[in-house]
Amino acid sequence: MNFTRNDRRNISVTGQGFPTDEFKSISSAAKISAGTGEFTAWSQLSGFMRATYSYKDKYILKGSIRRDGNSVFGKKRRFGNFPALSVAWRASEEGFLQQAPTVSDLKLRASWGMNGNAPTENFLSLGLFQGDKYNVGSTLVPSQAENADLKWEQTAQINIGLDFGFLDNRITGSVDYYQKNTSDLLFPVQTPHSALVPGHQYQANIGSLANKGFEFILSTTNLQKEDLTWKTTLNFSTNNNKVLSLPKGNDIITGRNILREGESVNAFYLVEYAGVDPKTGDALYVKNAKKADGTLDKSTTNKYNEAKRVIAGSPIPQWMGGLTSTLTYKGIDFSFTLQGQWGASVYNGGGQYQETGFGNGLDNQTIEVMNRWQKPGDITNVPRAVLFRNNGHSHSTRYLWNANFIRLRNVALGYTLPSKITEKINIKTLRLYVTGLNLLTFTKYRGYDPESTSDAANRSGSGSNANRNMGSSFYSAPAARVFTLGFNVTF
Amino acid sequence: MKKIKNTKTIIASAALVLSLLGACKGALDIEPQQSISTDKATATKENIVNMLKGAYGEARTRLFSGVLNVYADLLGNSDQVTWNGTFANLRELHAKEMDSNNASANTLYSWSYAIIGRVNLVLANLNKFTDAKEKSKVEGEAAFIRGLLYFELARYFGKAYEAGKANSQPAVPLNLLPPDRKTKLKRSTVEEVYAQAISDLKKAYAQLPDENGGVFADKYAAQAILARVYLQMGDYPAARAAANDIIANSKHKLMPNYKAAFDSEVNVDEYLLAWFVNNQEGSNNSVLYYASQSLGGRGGDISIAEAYLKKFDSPSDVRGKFYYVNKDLKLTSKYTKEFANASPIRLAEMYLIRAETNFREGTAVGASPLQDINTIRKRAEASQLKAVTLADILRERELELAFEGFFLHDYKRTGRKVGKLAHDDNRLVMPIPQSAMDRNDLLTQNPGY
Repeated sequence: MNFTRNDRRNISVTGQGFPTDEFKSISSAAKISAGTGEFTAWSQLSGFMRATYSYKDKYILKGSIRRDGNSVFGKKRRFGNFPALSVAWRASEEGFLQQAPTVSDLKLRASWGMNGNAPTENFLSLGLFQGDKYNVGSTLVPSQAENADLKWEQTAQINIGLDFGFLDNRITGSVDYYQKNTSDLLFPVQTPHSALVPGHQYQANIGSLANKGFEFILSTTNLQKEDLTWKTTLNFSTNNNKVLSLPKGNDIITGRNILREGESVNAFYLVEYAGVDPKTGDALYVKNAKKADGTLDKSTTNKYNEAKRVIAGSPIPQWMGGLTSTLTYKGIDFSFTLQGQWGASVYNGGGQYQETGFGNGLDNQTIEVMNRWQKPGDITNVPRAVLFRNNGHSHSTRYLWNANFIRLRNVALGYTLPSKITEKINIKTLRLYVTGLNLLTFTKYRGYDPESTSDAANRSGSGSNANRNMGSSFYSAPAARVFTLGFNVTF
Repeated sequence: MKKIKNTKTIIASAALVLSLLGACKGALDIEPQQSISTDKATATKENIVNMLKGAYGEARTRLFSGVLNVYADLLGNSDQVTWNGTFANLRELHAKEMDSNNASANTLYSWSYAIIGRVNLVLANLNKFTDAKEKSKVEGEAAFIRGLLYFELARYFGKAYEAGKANSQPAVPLNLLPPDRKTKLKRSTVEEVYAQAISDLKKAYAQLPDENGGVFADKYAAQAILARVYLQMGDYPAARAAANDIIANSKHKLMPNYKAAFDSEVNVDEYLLAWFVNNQEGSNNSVLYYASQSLGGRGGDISIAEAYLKKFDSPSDVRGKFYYVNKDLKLTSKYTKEFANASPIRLAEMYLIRAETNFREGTAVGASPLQDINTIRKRAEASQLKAVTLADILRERELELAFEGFFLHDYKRTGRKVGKLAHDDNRLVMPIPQSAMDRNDLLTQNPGY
């Protein structure tokens, strides 16, 4: 049994005008200028049981069940049951493999389990009113729509994996296949404005989605001498995600992202940009209107409002990988980490200011604008620049860019002084080092950084959930390139 | 034997855990302290009154702090103002090149319905009032806010009302019921939405007191909006009657000089209604977009164009010099106080409505058109006219009411071109926001979007 209750209360008072810096209590302020008080809380009640069975360390069977109740859900929907089961077979303990000199560890495992996800916002199932003011008097305004049926989001996960170690564990690693099916997805459902629901949305459990893929890790000790070791770890993973079902099969569109059955989760949903008309310099868009025979009209138009949106990519990478290598020679150590991802796109929400030829205000422009259409016959993808007029800067795939990258995440070089020297000054170890973060990035992404996205830029209206507007950047600052010089001392 | 015993132990402990979970269930009931639930919020008449005031507060903050006036000034601009700002949504209004993602259209649409939701909830809970007088007043104020919002929605999102026609062109969905997430409505016609606005405003007129503090709706504030609605519809006799009623029967008076009619932190005699703003709540968005930085604005996002100043015919007219120069931009002196009450409905507008409708009807109800125009001109220290034409009256409106949210609606209803666009051009009607289309497949988009 476990009971958790989390209360958060914060009170702040701001005072201005203290006689001198020695006065540190609020009563000494000439003016109490602001004050706030906040309270929020959640609680969770859990009961769980677990059983483990192991036979000769070869066959391992584990089972567990938990029942969780969380205050955030509707009063009658608070509890959920989450069982889990796993089996493992340590093949390396079998007689026939204990003879094999190359195999040091081999374990086959499979698991199935249910998980419950609760939202992080408290009181999410309640219809709420909060205080506000008008004419120096207090008022009540609704802040959240009710959903008494709000319940646990559930994920059923299947994992099949193999752990291995060869040659005295000089080669180790694992291969995993996972499949996660999430149902009763927690999602803020957008309601028609004329339904008059506070915030025009309510939190609900909708539909289901699936994530599946492989995960692979391989660690090798390439060299192991007295003064010299070289180790490498390689990992990559794949992810394939798909929306399985939605209420009545209807699309759920939030800003520039869509949930549609059979498509990847939060796919981009945008008007398709078709380049520039060489005769006029006008931006063109693919109409993409459904024709009578069900196919899409692929002809182009210079009128944005005539073009329909299409699914245009995913904010979630399909492949991710990394490589870390460490080399030590006597007192010198050197390591680096490369990371990469493939298959995600980023929408540059700032594109409509940064790359429009001053069509949308006097913002600094990208160098691409130099290639704009200037005279009939120019073949380019950048439309004619028109001061303070829209020629091609409405939201479209023009600003949706592939965010594949490989990045040198980390490089470190260190030198540990021989203990003979350091012992003389009563130091056990002294290591000097220099590290660099994000030194190199290989990408065709044209924005600031393929990794910096913003969840703030697309928030619409009140009370928003960041996971709906994935993969957009809006003047999002890139990851910093950091150099560090330092030393570690142990006495 | 041993096995069975184990099983029993497991079952017993499982039962214990389950019963404990059941017993502790109450620990999961946590009531918020910063908010109250809908049941509590609608339980007492005090809360219902607070909810109504909340609707005023949000209507002020989101729409009537000057926001809507700026939309009408920019979308309706021919050559009166220059846009110098950076906000893309407002630039698109000024350039008449909105698309369905335009944030201004979205603000007007989504917040109007949010606030209509508040007042419909108030109207659905009138049974909490025992005092008939109090109930009647609350109902009147709620109806005022709803009528005002449906009027604004209809004239921004629907094609213009045409007098004597069926007006079956779509406006916006009409919902008179409290919030319900299952509701999905198609667009009602312009005729229907105007009719609802009139019905609500008439109810407000009938049920509201003569005075209600200036920042809350009273009888004559409702009548003033009715005058606007009728004028927009081309129902000149009704507009004339409403304007004349206010001038003749309300205690409101023109301020003795033009300057005193603006920038007031308390509502002056001339204001039929102004939305409350002070340094603790709300903000004055007219100041934000029209004023210099030192006066609390953005430095003149909207400045006065020379063509507007050329419209003045009398050198002594204070309105022709009612500006200050900030970094080479001429900025109107109407909005220079950061915390002045916002979007006042001024009595001067009622004189102009009475003059125009009397002229169109060939009558002199209350006063002749010439008398009313000269009353307005006298206060502005402009020369007195000897005769007036309709064009004179419309120009006088523009000289008096510029930058107060009239350009768009006046040019459309009088069939004048807005810049190069005909008065009925699709681009002078806002698009139904894409986010609204995405939520409701019964909605149809406006032509041109």
